[in-house]
Amino acid sequence: MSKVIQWIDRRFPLSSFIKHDLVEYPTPRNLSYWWNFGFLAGFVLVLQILTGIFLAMHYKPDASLAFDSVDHIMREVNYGWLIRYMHAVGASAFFAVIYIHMARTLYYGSYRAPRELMWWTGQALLLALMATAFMGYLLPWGQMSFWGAQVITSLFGATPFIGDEIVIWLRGDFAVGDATLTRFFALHYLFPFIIASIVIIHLIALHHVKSSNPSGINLTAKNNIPFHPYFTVKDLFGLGVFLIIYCYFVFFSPEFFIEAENNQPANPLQTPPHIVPEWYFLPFYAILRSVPDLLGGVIAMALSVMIFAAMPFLDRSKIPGGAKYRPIYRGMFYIFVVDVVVLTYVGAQPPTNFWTLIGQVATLIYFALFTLLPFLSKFEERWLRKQGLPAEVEELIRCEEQCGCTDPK
Amino acid sequence: MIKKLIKKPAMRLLLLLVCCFQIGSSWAEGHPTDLREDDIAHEPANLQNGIQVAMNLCTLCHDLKYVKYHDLLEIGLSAKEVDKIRGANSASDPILSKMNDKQMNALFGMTTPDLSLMAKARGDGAQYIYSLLLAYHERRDGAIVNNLYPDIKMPDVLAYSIENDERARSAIEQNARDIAAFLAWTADPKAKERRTLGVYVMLYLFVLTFMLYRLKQKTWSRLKT
Repeated sequence: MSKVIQWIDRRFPLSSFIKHDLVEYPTPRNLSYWWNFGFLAGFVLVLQILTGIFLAMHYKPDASLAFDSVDHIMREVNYGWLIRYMHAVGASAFFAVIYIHMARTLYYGSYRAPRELMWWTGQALLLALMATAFMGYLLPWGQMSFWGAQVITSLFGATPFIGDEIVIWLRGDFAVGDATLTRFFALHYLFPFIIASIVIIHLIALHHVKSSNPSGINLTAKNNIPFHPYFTVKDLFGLGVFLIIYCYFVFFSPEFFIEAENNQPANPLQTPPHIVPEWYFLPFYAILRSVPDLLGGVIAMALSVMIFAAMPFLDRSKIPGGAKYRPIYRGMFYIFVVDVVVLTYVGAQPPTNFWTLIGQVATLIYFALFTLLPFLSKFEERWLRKQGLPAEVEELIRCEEQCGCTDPK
Repeated sequence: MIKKLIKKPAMRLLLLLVCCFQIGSSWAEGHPTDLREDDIAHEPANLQNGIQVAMNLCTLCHDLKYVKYHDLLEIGLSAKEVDKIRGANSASDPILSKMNDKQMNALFGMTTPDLSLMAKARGDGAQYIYSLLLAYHERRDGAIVNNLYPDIKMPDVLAYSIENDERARSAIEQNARDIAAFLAWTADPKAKERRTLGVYVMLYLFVLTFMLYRLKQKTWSRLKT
């Protein structure tokens, strides 16, 4: 065995990769459980790819067969119900894990230098995940699948001058139909592999800049511990807790995340009384509906997703340590989280005057937080420094100004 | 311990979210529903009565196209009983209505929906079906209307609205509950298998996670120097 490894090592850096990036990889010892979610996201990605491949063996991407083939999987394929529910619940689990992962990054300021590229590859991953989820939702060919795709593809019609052409190009037909279903299936199969490649870039960047940590400063060597066994066992314990919650939904409440309406086959002649997207799109959907003009709404919705990429520029504070040591930023973070919850709730309500108004206020707060951040973060820094920061922190800030690194050495 | 946890910002946030969710859901539940609240029993006897009534009434017009005759063995019908129900059909045939689309269009002006998944296609599932079947009543002008779904084309097949005898009415109610239980089964035939397997999976995961937790504690205790 060792001979085989020697043979490989002369040709490929296998042992050194395992040693440097899996076993000895230096990890800050003060990471909290909020740092488990990146690993969980990777796990869910693998789970979705595996269950997805097995579903694809039985699924038929044809408008006249799709709905029946899903039911065939549920009733006749051995453990087909398990694979399908794992995949359906997995989609929601993926977003839950990713949103927590993002919230952690925002709270602890992990997007700041030198981790901007991690944040931006993460942003690309979020977009790819949303596209994948949206296309996957069409495949069961239920009422909500069909009408959701109809509504979302029609948003591209807001593009000036060539809107109608783009919509037809996307759908491959004048309305969502067999052509749309087949191409969504092809892309839904392709995208996870694009996601996996971006994940590799995300991880290469991570292993270059190393993990951020709750203190917000780069730690000296003595505060780092090897990834194995400390974080392998911590991640596995986190995985156990995740699986308990995940399996509860898979086995005892699998339809919780599936709209009842979607158990009826797609009917282009009958619009459901109330078209709602899946829960993970609700905040952005609420923002879309808050703007009276369609083009304005589409721009606001796109901006609400893309604005995260600007965080490294919007946050101008040099105080290390994320929200923990920054009272104003911390307040903004909590307002943001509550605001997103409100938007999620509003997104699921029928568009009455009352809910539209609440949605508009929440949308304003959403964008106001990002717009005010450059000023408030600068003000907060001046205020905190006037009050007097600990000498070490001042030293860190001075060091960063001089050499662009936060490591005092 | 708990005090320490509550002091953590993340825990505060979690509490806040739970509160939001509570307020939100209690708000949403605030409006009264017209659904009947009696419990629907899902015992084999109920399912078996449900299939008998459904085969005599529902399948006159409705398909159960995702259910095959031999699937009925799963709810405890004997092969003989299934043979009696399927008549000239093959055991592996789907259960289809006795009318074709053309006849249904002539009668109702629409094709009747398939019932296999109906219990999952309505938010309140079996409770909705049960309530819908009994929501018929006779208006003063003699017309029979459905309270729950006024536009419904389906007639009062259980004849609940014109029945005055208390005992007959409660028999109809029982039949409606059994139909609903049967349709809950057709919509989710693997539910029992899923829950049984789920219990074992959860037990396994609890033990595994507890062991991983101890292992984590033990591994990390080496660090405290």
